[in-house]
Amino acid sequence: MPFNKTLQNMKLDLLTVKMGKSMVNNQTMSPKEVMEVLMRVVGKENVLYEPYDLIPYSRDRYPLLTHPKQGITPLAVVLPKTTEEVQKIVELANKYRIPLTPRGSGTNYAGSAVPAKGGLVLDLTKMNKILWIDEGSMSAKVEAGVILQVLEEELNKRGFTFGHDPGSFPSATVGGCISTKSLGWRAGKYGDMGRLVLSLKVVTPTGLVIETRDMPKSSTGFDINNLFIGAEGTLGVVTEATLRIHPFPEKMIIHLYAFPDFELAFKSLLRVLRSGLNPMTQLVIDEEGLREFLEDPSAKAGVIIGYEGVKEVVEAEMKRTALILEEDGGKRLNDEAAEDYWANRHDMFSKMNVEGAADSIDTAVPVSKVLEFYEFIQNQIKSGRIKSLGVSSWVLPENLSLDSAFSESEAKEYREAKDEIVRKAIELGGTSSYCVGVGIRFLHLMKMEHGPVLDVMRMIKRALDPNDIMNPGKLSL
Amino acid sequence: MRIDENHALKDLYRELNLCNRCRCGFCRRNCVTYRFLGAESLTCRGRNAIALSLLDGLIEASQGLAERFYLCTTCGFCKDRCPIELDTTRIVEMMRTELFKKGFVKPEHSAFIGHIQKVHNPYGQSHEEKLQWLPPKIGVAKKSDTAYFIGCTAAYRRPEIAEATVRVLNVAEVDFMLLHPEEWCCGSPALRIGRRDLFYELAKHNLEAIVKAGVTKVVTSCAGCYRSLGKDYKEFFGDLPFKVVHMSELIAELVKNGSLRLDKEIPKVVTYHDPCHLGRHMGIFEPPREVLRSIPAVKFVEMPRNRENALCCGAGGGVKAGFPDFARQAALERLMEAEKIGATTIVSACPFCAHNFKDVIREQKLPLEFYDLTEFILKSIR
Repeated sequence: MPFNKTLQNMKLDLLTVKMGKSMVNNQTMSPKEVMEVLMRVVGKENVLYEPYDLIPYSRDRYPLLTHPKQGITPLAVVLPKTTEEVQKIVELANKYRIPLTPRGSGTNYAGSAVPAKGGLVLDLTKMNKILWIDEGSMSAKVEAGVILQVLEEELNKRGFTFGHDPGSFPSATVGGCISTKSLGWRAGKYGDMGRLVLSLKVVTPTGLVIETRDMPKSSTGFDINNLFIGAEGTLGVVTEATLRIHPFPEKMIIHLYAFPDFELAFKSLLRVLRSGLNPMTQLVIDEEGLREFLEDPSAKAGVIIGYEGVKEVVEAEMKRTALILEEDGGKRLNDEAAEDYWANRHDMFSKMNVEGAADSIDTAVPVSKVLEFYEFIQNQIKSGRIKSLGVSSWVLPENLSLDSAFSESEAKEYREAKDEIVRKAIELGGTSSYCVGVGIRFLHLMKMEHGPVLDVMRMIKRALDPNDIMNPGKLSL
Repeated sequence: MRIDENHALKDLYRELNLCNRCRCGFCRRNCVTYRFLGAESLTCRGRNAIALSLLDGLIEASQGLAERFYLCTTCGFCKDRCPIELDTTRIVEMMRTELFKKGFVKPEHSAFIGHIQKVHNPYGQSHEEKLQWLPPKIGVAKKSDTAYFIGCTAAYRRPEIAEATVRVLNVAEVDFMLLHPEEWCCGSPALRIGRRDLFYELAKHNLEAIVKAGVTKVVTSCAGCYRSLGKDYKEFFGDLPFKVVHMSELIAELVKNGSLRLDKEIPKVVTYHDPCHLGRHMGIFEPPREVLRSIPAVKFVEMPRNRENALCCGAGGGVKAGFPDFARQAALERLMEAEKIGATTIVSACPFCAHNFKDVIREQKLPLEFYDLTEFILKSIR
């Protein structure tokens, strides 16, 4: 595996750097010279190369890398402040074939920000300016390193909301969310990160700076934005984005309903969706995931559902929803439980780490297969191979996730069980990840999921990045 | 290093492992050190990865590594925002202790530690000089239930705060004594940079002096002393036979019960800076605000980052001594925040914040005035 390199090896690498031997497949420039050029581009203080400064960049939140010894230390970390600096770094990397791994806040669970092939980590968090907010066109332009929570707070002051609200909202960057096509708690209303992007500025792997037009709709050729959304930085470095923003909702309502079992809860939610309602958030969760919120001991599942927007509309939507859920046997629990759950939504995954290394298997299958897949997951849990902290259908009815935790000694067995679950999702016509990404975790499943589509992805990669410098070792490209 | 259940660092090791499993990075956003320097190794999450690597022998300690820990102001923002509720400031202090044992210290810290060991204050001045600020006509009891614990920074560097404090106490007719010459450094500077041994020695002395004086209430005008006496002494010695009160709490109480009448108008636009050791560490947010709002003609305005989210002034945790330029940069950002909301006056309740802010206001010629809460309310007393 590419990520089993130990810190001992890293030390040797660093020693090699200090001795000035080439690690960049190039005869004319030593790592020391590379470092000197980088320092001229971004300033000495923005190039990190000491072992202690590199260790924090050797991992992201991929749960199988629980200890620093399991990470991969880059040669150096570069912190650019402008697109021009990024361009110069990319040109250097391309000329001397240096692997380049872009990174935001490093909150990805798939290892997308792990420098799998060493080289340089491009930390974009100093590119953190909100460039403009245009209330008239309801759009905002930001640099890639802007933190979602910072953007949201700035928009709230002006009566707007961005609407992208993943679990990592307090620390994730806009660039990271674009590169993983992330999904948030409020996506029922606002869509995933991809839907929120109007235009992008990107430095391509050969050093070209391109910027798409921030038109919401264009019929003039390929949709270039979507080439970079979810590409995990393998096709270039996203440095700026123009985003859709929305009016801050007049009212938000979140309710929690208890159900006798998951199947009834899920089917009832489908009835809500089929009636033409469009919840801002929706979650069907099993007993394990909702345990602390279930007051009724007979309840084995819950539905959390919410709306936001114009007051009268939201109230009418929730009233209609309540009719359907209650008709199907749902019992509304007190608002405090729903509000607690909502208030805790960004912290809950972190808290699971108290139980062991927490992971989320973020699979999706066709709606018609969800209950079959749910049964399969439950059997895996019953076999004792995997410890469940909750199975849930989240935001889209196709999504079915398993939150779990494992100890260091259980890691191998966990990995195998996880693999079987993900394979089953693919067999059922689904996807191995609806929001986290491939990173280094599902390289071996990309062919199974995509077939010849993966060949097209590889052709695109070769066309744009002939020297394979951009985030190599990801997406099975 | 093998760290098993019996090891002195087992709790620290467990917490570091927990953070290394989680790695959410929620600690990054308002971290004053990270905001200025931008390297992941200066975030709580990054330091915890380094710390685990160090304890597990994967990396060697060095002066550069140690500075990643010494650059933390121990402001506690990361602790406040940590979903798994790690005591992150304690982790920093424990790691500083380990680094000290390995011989990695900041020379500036060694200097003030040397002073504390020699003359019981970090400024190296004599005990005799500690009361130079005391005005002649102030009534100080020889014996009282209440003692004013002056603190070294107010006594030697910001005497206006010590003076205002005793004047306020006199106006409100609060009977109080001083512990001098038995008041030593509270130990906060030693503990914050990891010298738990020295902290223990200082705290033991002060505790004995307080108990011997028969005091039941200790009043501090320093946020650092307040945290140290009110929290750290308890951690080391258990429940204390006296109450610890910060002047901001006492003033709010005196205003409420009518002992202090703030009736002279102060027509200024005023904002309040929450000292980390008083606010996030000890939960005192409202009393100083209540006092400021009660002063006639004061227009009170809040900075966007306030209470639990307040930005650190940059002086704490030994940073003002060890990294003065960085401390000034941090203070400048906070002062600019105050200026941006139209404040002409910034009030706080910590001599350490006062020291840092006043330096920067003077150096940068900023159109802002700084007052300690005690100084400010004196202007409103007829």
